[in-house]
Amino acid sequence: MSNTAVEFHDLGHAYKPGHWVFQSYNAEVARGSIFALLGPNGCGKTTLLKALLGALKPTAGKVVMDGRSAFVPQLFQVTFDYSVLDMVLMGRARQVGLFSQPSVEDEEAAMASLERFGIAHFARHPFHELSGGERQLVIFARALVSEAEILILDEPTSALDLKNQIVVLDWITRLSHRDGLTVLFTTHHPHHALAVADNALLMLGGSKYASGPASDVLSEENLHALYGVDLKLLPFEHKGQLHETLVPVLPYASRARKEPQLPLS
Amino acid sequence: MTEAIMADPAISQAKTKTAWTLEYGWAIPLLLGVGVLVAILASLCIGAYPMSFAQAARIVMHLAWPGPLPANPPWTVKEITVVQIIRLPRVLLVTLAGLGLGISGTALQGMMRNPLVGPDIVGVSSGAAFGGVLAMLWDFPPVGIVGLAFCGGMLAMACTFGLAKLSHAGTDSMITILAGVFVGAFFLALIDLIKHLANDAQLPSMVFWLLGTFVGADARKVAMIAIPTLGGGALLMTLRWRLNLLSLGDLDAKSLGMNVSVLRWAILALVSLIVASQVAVSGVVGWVGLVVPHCARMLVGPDHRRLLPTAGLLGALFVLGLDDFTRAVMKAEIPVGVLTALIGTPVVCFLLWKSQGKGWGRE
Amino acid sequence: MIRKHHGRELLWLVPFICIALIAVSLLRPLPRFPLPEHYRTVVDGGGNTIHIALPFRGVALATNSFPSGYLETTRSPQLLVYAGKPSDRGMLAKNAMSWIYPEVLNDDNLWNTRLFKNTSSPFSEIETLLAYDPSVWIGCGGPPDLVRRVGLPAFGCGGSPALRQRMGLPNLRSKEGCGTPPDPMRSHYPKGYVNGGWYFPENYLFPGLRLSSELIGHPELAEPRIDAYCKIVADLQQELRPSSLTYRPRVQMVGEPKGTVPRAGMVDVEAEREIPGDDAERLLILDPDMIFLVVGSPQEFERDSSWQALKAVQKHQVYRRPGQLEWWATGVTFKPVLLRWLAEIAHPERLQPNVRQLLRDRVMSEFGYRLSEEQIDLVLHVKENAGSVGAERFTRGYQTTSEQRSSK
Repeated sequence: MSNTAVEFHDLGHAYKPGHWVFQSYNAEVARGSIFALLGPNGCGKTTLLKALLGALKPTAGKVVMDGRSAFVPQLFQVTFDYSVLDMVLMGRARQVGLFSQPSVEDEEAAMASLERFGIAHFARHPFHELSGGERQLVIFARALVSEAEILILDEPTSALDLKNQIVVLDWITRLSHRDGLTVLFTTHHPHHALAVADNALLMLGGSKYASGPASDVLSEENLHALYGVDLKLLPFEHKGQLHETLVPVLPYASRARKEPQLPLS
Repeated sequence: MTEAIMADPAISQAKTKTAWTLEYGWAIPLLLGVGVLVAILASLCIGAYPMSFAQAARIVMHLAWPGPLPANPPWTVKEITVVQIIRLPRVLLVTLAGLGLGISGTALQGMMRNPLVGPDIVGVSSGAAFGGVLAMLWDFPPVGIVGLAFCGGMLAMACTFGLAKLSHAGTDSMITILAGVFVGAFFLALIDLIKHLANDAQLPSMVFWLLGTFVGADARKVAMIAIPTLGGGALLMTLRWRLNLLSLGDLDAKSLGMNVSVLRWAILALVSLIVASQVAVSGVVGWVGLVVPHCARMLVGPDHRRLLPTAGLLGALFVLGLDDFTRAVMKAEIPVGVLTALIGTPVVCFLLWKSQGKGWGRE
Repeated sequence: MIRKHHGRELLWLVPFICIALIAVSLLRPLPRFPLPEHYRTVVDGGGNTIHIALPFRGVALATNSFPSGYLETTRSPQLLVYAGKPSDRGMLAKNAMSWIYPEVLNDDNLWNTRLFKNTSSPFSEIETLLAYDPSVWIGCGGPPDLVRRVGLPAFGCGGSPALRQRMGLPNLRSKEGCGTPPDPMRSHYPKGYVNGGWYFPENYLFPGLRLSSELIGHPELAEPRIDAYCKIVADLQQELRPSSLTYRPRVQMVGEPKGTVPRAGMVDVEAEREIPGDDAERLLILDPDMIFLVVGSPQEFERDSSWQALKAVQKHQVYRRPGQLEWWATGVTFKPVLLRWLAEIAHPERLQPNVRQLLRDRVMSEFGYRLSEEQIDLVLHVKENAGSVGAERFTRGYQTTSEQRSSK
């Protein structure tokens, strides 16, 4: 197994000829690292993800994925109300033969995965009864039970409240550092990327992109170019370690408050 | 390990319906299987010629068990004639039709992520019906009718999904359903054209066949529906867990490591095969493939490992029950297709209301 | 690694295999019906050998074998199971056979319906047939093969007599024609004038009579009835002396075997030449002397403006032919009477009025039943023919001038 889990060369895709969503992207994702993809809506994050997953054949370039991947989508609408255990069990698709049914081992692995995320007591509940955060964990469990080495997540924190966002980010870190998984995720929140990612790629439109270590790529200039807003990098210390976070600068609110004009009586 | 978010404890303790079906749901297909076999024997007792359940059971068991029949049988020649020539072919035809429709309807619903589609909507029934009446127009023998009906069904299926592919729609989208409706309508128009071209001798039998009837069952027709239904059905049964995966959506299923497109086309082909063979031997029996899977889902939940056999057996029981009703109570030969439509349509309306539109147009 | 599976994963195979086994069992050879302990062998019109179980339990008829025909030829109402629609029963009720055998109308079991429907295969009621368990099934226009498959002896209606002859059986069609001399016009018949080979009614009456008598186990009953039939025809020929006729009226008569018309000393206008076109035009071109209707009344016909130009209308020689509807049977009994009726109309001067007496005698000798005067009026359509020339001789109480003279 090489050191590089995912790499793409000269990757580009155009849904209509001549209209490139993105073009000439190059990047390498080291095994066991966390990689963040950022870009505003409509610039092709999902397209890039699909290309990485092999669900889309890119118009140009190629993707090399060394290892099995698992996908955690952003929205999860299931037509049928499967139980949580059934959902997780579906992750065993690679282990179960084409004409076979899941074995006892598969079901045990699914339960173990649920226990790992602390949601084993939900095993027999219907999936749609769970809250957003719980569902996210179920899909995590499913991704893991497939014994994938590469985890690809599509905006894992967008639909969650603060507490669950933190839980998910914590799990991403845990899975990468402790369990050695390679994690790729797209996000709208640059401070999330800054908190957990080792490397990042900013999609700046067309063939422009910024790629490299997260602390380098997620600079104020780059972010201003990406989102068109001002963000300030704020360093802070926690438990003896130096960290950085991003704080938005609101265009109107930064002005000093003036005394309100009272009506002349 | 428990930093994970905790939900409302009430939910975690409640013995939900899902939990119940997970625990005991496996027993339902078992019961239904026994039920179907009992129903087959009971159906053999219905008819003008008197026959008791025990006698029917005795005859069928001796017939089915490989080996020669006893020299001094405990039945009369007339009784075994009634069973072997008159009733058993028909009962088998009905059972197989229900089984095939139940299984293929479930497979379609799972694959198209939509609990309110059936083989009729995808155009297979219309295509197969077209093939059948075309064969009748050209005065083909019964083998020819079955063969051409099958070809018609496959053709319609190919048109529907080809059209969907041209419109860049996945097999699980609304566009595919629309394509199926249009293709089906086109074939129905062709059928009307053929009815217009038919002469006076052919037209009544065509109309009767189109309504869906099990009259005139014989060993050859049973063979024609049994081989595709049991063979194709068995294959679909082995693939039933994969249907769970397909029902998640193309992207998800692919990311889990499945070859989605190959599997989809394979399932579609099998469904076409089963439905075309059913239409070929007994005309268009609609609504079963749509209503039965939904009822089965209410019984055992959506997991296709349990759902597929349940739906198949439930379908067999349903159509068998309707046919028995028609033979015993009505005494008139009301085509079963009419009955399934009369019963199926209100049930579908009820289901539509209960499901609150879940599964439609949320793509 | 050997994966442990739930046993119940494969449970679905059980119903599948059971159904498959049952389906395969249909491939077994069909049950063989053993020969009944006592049986009678009959060969039907098509040369098929039928074993009829004894004691004889009657016949089941297909829809287009009219029960009245069976009754007429076998005279055994207790042996009948008719497979028809309720409307057929209504038709039989208007028929003379139901006067003679009123019990036929009573039993509801006789009118079991849809044994043979146009639109479907006949399996629907085959079980009822089996349940009734008749000794033999007569299928004219039905599916003999199917009935044979379920083990009933199936007696087909048609068939070629040559087949039976090859088997050395007596000729079903012997004595047909009853010695009638051939029609002098025969060589001039237009193409297609005589189709189906039924030139005389006896062509189908005599085989039917003989087969039916064999069927019920009394073949000896056939020949005397045939001889009686032929005697009446021969007597009529003697009285009429057709070879010495100078005048033969030209008539239009549809629906009768073509040989009837020359036998009655008439000429069929259709036999003269072939005229294409629709019926109304042809009738005006042909302009026959007499017209014999099958339905409706002569008065209505004469009132119809389309026919005013016809000779027959102007001379009031339009007649309602007797024997349809009220005698919906094969005609073994009635055909000789019809022949005389026609001859009396055509040549009143040569023949004594004897139709009523003949009809009365025929019914008495065949069935032992006495027809009332009203019934005779019904059969002969006396009311409809009231305004037609020469039809008064068929009314009751009619006496010829010679009789009147002799009674004075």
